[in-house]
Amino acid sequence: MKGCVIGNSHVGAIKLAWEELGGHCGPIDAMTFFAAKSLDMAALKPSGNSLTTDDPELRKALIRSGGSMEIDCARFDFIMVHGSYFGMSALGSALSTHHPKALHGKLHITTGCLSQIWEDELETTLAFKLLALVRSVSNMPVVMSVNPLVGSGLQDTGHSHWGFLDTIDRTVYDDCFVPAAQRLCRRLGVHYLGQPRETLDPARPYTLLQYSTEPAGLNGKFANIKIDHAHMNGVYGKLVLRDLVALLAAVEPEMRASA
Amino acid sequence: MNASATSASHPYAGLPPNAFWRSAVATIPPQQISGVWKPKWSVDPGTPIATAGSCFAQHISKALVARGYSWFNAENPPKRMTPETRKAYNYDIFTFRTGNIYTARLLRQWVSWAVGESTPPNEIWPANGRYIDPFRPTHEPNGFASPEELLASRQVTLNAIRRTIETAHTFVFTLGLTEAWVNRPAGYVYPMCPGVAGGVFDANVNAFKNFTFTEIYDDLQETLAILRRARSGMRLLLTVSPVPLVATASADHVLVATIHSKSILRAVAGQLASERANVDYFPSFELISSFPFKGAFYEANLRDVKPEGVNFVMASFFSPFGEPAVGAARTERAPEPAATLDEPASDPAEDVVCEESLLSIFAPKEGEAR
Repeated sequence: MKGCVIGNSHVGAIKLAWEELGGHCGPIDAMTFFAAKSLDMAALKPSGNSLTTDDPELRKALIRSGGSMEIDCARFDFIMVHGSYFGMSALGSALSTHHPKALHGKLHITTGCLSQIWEDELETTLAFKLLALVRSVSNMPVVMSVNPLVGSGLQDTGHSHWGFLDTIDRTVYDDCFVPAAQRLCRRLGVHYLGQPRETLDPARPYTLLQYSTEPAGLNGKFANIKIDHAHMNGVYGKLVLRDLVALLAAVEPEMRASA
Repeated sequence: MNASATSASHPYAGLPPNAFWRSAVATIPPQQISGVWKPKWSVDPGTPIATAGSCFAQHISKALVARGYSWFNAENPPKRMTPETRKAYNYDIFTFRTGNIYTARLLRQWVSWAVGESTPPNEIWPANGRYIDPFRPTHEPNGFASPEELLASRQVTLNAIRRTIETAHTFVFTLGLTEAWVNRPAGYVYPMCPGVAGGVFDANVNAFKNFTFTEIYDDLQETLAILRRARSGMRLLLTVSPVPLVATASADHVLVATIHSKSILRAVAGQLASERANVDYFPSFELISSFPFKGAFYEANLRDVKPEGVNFVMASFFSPFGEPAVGAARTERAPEPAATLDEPASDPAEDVVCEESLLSIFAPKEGEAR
């Protein structure tokens, strides 16, 4: 089975895990990784069965990461979009004034409403664009692998951008984000792959510290990067691949149909 | 009899043209009928104005915002909420998120709860593992996650009503219906018949009520009394929705029931406005539904109001506060009334959140007998 992973710097953890596993994981015997920093993948466009770009920088990134200046979807049995802002960051603005328990002097908001806002926000992400692009050129199985929650070590850094995470507990992630992401994936006809359960802090919406140490990311090419509490390591990547394999077993009939 | 002496002595002699049917209505195009309202007090862009009531009240909220007036929004939505989600969760529709308040009794009930003079009943409607608020049945599209969440959300709205009472200078309330459903043993009123948008209809508990002139008059008087006890100074601007009933449970023909209902509401509004200095009446009902307009402001279903009708009403509303008079604006700008005003044309049936419309799904289809 041949897979393709498309995304931003978070793809680094999956790539590292893949290499540590010796280029083989369950039924997957080949995996091609296309990654570009931040929002650069937004410059992709459909062309026949492929995704290409007119942007010279992105073209370089595609060659550097995946060995080709175009992503020929027909070459793969499935495509997984990973990270690409499909996660928590979308919610900071809504939580600046409202809170599901009306704490911190904020107005009450229902979990249903918060979840809907999140779903709307996810539609504005790079991941959503990539999913729609892949869907426009191929009917093969597509998997959306969520952006990891930031590492719990971030709590000690006083990072203002993520300060809102300290105001909510894990239930907000479980009751609002997960249903929102699942609804959106259903609408797009793609498969939702959540963050591996054991990597989640049980109390707060963070990834446990051990998964964000020695992280992998993009430094021009796939590489270990400085701890930034945003990127995850190979251990995390292996757990994602484990969950991916489990998901693919359920998706196999669809894969056969699209072949 | 001396003719000149007679004409100088009777009260009609010195009246302005708008006091005479021929000059004010019969001999001019209907869209040029103007000067229909002399407000008892003035508002300016800095005056905090609250809005609530039936579906048509939403047009007033939107028009206030569009013209730069201070529409008082006591329940601001979270940041970056899409317009569709704001609408689905009832943000930015009325000053507070009660949903439609069709009857005077329901307004009185909400205001009384908000200031703590009475307490909401414990009734909550379970629905497939979720929970529906009987008093805001369409608020949470998928229902509330728990009774606690429902009550917390309702409390936010009650706080918003209280904040409105403490802050707003003018409260525009659009009367919509005389018909309602009540909980007979406990005496409270629902915004919608139980069973339509949640809950289960129980004929032993739920009863139809068609409020009379006296009851509506008393409800509004009591509402004013509650408002005054909380804070003196708020002014009440009443309007009557020109939107006909979707359905009636009165056993009358829906046309007869509509005219009955609107006539009573119009009469109560007029009575209160004539009696009280802090109550005024704006004739949106007349500007849309009265016969000189020949139904031209209604959509094909003779219920929804066309954008040009809304625009005509809102231009008449703002004209005493310095906007060009309706007729003058029309002459200056374009031949069609819709072009006289500055709001974008849109389908009001699409834009307006109208819980009563849910009843239409129970109407028999064409050719279907009942």
